[in-house]
Amino acid sequence: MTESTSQHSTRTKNMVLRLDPALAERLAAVAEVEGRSVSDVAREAIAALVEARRKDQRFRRLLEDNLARHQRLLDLLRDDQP
Amino acid sequence: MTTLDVADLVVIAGQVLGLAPGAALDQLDLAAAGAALAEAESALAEAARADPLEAGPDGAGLAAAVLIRALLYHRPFPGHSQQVAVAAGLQLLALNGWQADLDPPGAAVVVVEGLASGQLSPADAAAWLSPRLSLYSAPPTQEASMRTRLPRLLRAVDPRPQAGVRTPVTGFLPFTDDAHDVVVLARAEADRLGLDRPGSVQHLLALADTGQGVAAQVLRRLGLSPEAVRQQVAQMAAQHQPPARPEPDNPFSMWVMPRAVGEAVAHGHDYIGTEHILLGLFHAGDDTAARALASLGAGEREVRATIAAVTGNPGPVRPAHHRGRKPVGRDDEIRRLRREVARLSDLLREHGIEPGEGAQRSA
Repeated sequence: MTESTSQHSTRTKNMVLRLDPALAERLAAVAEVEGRSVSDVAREAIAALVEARRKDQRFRRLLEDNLARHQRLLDLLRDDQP
Repeated sequence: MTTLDVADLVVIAGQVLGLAPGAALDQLDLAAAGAALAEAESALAEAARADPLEAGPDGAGLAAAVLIRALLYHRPFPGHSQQVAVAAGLQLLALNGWQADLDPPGAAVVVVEGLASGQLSPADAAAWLSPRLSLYSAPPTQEASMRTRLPRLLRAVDPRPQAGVRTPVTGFLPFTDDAHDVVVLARAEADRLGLDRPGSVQHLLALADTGQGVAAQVLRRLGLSPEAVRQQVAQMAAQHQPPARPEPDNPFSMWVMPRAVGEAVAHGHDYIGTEHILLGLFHAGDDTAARALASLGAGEREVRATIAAVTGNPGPVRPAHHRGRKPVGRDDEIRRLRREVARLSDLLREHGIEPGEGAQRSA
């Protein structure tokens, strides 16, 4: 499912989300009940997922090991050109 | 097969960019992230491989390359696409039991830039990456990587006065950040071995390990990986090869740093960089490092030529140890200061102030 909506914040922008239909329906239901935009609800859901992933010790250990192993490579990579 | 989702990307980006999760989430272009992940999934499906990550390193390499390419193209974290994309690709590999050996990193940078510009396809990148994959094993210790990261971290949290070398002739010559790291690492290596001070070998290992600065670029161009340097030094130590040059009477001449200062002066530089330390190895009293480099095909001539190619500075006409100390002596410094005083006096007069009047008033 593709849905267009806008984010109400100091940095308003359009977002296109490709969501599983069932998930999209649940998001829309939550948004309607709570009187918020779908994007607000989606962002909050992602934030919760991020928090859960941060507590995933295996994920964090692998990530830290990877960044340590490849620190020199990451330092050499360039930022995007404007 | 474990794949990445948007939350994974946020955690990875936060860790790579040193941001709190909320700040990383604020930088996320959610639509771009969704598009990148969907494109990666679709591309893998089109590759007609049901589960690439279980098909050995070829499948794993392709999955990582496809993800990296998609993240480079869609840029879910604008401004830092390359770092986030590579970190995500490496994390995808690790989550599925693979690790990549990408040292020296220069080639990997070229591949990433090729992917970003479209000059390389994911299949091309996968063909380069797959032979460098092996089954994941946790690092035995964090020592090697932390050796590189620690000095910068310490400097970041506890900035101290700039380090350098002061001699009666040259005055104070500061280390570049990279050279400072090398000095710290060499000292740490010497401490570990119970030495009073780092010798040529400890400086060489530090130069190879940091991966930063002109010397690291030179070593990479000459095809010398940190592992190769360390292996050669260990091999020479195992063979107990004595220094080819007799030890001089004056222990000061054994040290690397006076030679590095000489190289900096000879190049007309007012700082000590890693390239000066590297060149200093060839004239330190202990020639073990020089012999190790030469046996790896990086003799003084090759190193000087490569430094010139990297920096664009043709270097001194003669090596530093053949030069006198006169060029940057006290007379030169006094002349420079007099010129500066004259320039400032003229500037004061232009603004209607006669130099010296203030001093007379306050006297």
